[in-house]
Amino acid sequence: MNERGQISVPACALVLLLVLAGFLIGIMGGIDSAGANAQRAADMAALAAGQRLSGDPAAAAADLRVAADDAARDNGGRLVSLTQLTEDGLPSGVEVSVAVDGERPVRASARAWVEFAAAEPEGSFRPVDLHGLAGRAAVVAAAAAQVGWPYVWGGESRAEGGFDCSGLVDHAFAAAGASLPGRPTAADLWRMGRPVAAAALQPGDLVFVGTGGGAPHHVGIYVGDGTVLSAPHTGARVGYSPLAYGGWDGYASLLPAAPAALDDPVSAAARRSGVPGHVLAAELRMGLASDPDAAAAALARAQAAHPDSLAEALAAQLGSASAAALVLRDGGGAGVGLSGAVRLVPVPHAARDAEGDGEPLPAPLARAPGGRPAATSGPAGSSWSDDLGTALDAGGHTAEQLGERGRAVPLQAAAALQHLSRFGLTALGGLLPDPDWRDAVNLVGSIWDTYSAVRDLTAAAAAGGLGLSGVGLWAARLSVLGGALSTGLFAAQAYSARRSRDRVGYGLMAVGSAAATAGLMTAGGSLMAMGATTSVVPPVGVTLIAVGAGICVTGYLVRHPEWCRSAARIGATALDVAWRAQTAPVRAVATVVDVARSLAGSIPTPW
Amino acid sequence: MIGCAVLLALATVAVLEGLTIVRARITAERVADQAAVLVGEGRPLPASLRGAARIERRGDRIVVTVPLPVRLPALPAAAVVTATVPR
Repeated sequence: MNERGQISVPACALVLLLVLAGFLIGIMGGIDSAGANAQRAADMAALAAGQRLSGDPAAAAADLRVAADDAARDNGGRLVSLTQLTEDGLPSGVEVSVAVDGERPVRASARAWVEFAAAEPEGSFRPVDLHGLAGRAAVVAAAAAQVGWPYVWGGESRAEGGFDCSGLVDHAFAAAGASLPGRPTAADLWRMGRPVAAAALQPGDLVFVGTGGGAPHHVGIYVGDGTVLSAPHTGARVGYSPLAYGGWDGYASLLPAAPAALDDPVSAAARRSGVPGHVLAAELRMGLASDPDAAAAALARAQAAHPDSLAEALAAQLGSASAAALVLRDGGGAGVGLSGAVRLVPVPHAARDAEGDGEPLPAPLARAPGGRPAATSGPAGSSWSDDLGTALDAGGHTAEQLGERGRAVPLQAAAALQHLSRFGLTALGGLLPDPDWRDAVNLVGSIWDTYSAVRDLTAAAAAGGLGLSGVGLWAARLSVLGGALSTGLFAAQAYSARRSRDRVGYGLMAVGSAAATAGLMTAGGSLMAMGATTSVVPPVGVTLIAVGAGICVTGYLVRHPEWCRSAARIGATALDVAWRAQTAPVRAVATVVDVARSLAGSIPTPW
Repeated sequence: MIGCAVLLALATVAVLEGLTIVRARITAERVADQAAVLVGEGRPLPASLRGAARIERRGDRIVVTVPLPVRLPALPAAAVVTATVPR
């Protein structure tokens, strides 16, 4: 302090620096890890539910919730909601909302996308889920599921790459639960069978070529509607052919006589297009197609383009490998292994905004395209340039957090920054050596208060009051004490002022300060009770604060009418500059015209 | 004046140290988030991630440690964040 009792400039600089340090400490304290924890808990919950879904696409929502909630709790959060995502009616992922409880609960959302992949068993042909079929219908369905496999002489296993004719029959009967003894050849099957007349053929009966000598060399399965399913010869694939044109000369049955099986439209469509019936049925069952013939034709085209892989053909037909895997699983049953790659993807803004019960949702951490968290910065350095980078990084991250998380996590930080900044102004307003500077700073503070109160008034009116908690609550408590003190000081200054405008100005400040303090105190006992963690200022209280702060602004302006004149001059100058800038091109053109006119007038005329 | 200078110096050191702690914490949070997501998705951790922090896998827990470049008494030596990946 100097001899006049005023504070020196270095001391002011020190105060400024300490205020800055206070801001930073406030920000550090405000950036608690709630937001990051919430996002991580949401990420893990989404991944856990996604992994559960990837193993069982028909998993119940309750099971997914359990998996997600467990993962969220492991990371300090709790599951708020889980939504199963679908694409074309098929399960495609989950979206979760997770909250981390604290003084101010923080929410985060995450979305996991599941890309299903089917794996057919190594040692067997296409598994088929017969969906309750039995007897002849089961044999036909099991054989029809193998349409498209190459003919391999002697073939009876997937490792060999295909079937021969008797291998197909053997496989179909085994898949239908009616295993045949040994590995019968066509001749063995002929001997095992009960001869039937061609006119009495039932689906599931066998048809033979070369029965004249008692040892036929080719066999097929009659599937009804005058059609035979067989593995015909080398270079061909398992497929359908008309009964009339195959040279079939013997007919036998290995199955008990039964009424003719009904030929359903899906099997008929599969037969007409030559596609595996079980996947066509699965597509229709899952709602991926509605017209059996159109779907069968599309699958046939896809199979022609991808003859060696039913999965690739299905993916091409459906436009999604994941959907193809689900169809294969549905058609093939548990024999088809199902796995899923789970990936986190960004949560659309619309989904975030529409979710929840009105609590603010923080945005996820900054992520690179594809939902990955943004790349981390390098290891911390120790040189002065690294320290500078440290400072800039921290500032950048702080700004990012404040910007991205809006009113959620960084609410603490934003509140800390806001309130500490306001207190910094109050401190400056009390400590600056020049009274005019003190008034200027206090005027800025009062304008700030007015703006904040008017801004909060709308929200308070809608929500029934302005909620206070955390830093905001403590700031309000200190403001009540400071407001009461200020009211008394202003009143004393008004009483002792010599100039009338000072008396009016200080009087207005005292009234304004009292009104603002009274507005805060409308929150009631919870405002000052030390045990309370929240309090609510009713709309009328916020209105009083706004009016009181506005009266304070008026008081400062009454004391300093020269500021009003300066402001008016600055405004007029700004308007003038703007007007000149706007009319400059017109005036430039006019000047050019004038110059041209004068030049023209100065040219001597020879006549 | 000397007192003011000392206070200024102390305040500056405090601010820098505070920034360093904030930065280490933010880095640890980010690395933990990224590592947990990668492990949860069944992907390997890239070398660039390991270069930013020390990452340890303890069962289903991932512990990320970012050491502070400057160590002062009574202040933590590192920022440590733990994430739990789905089982």
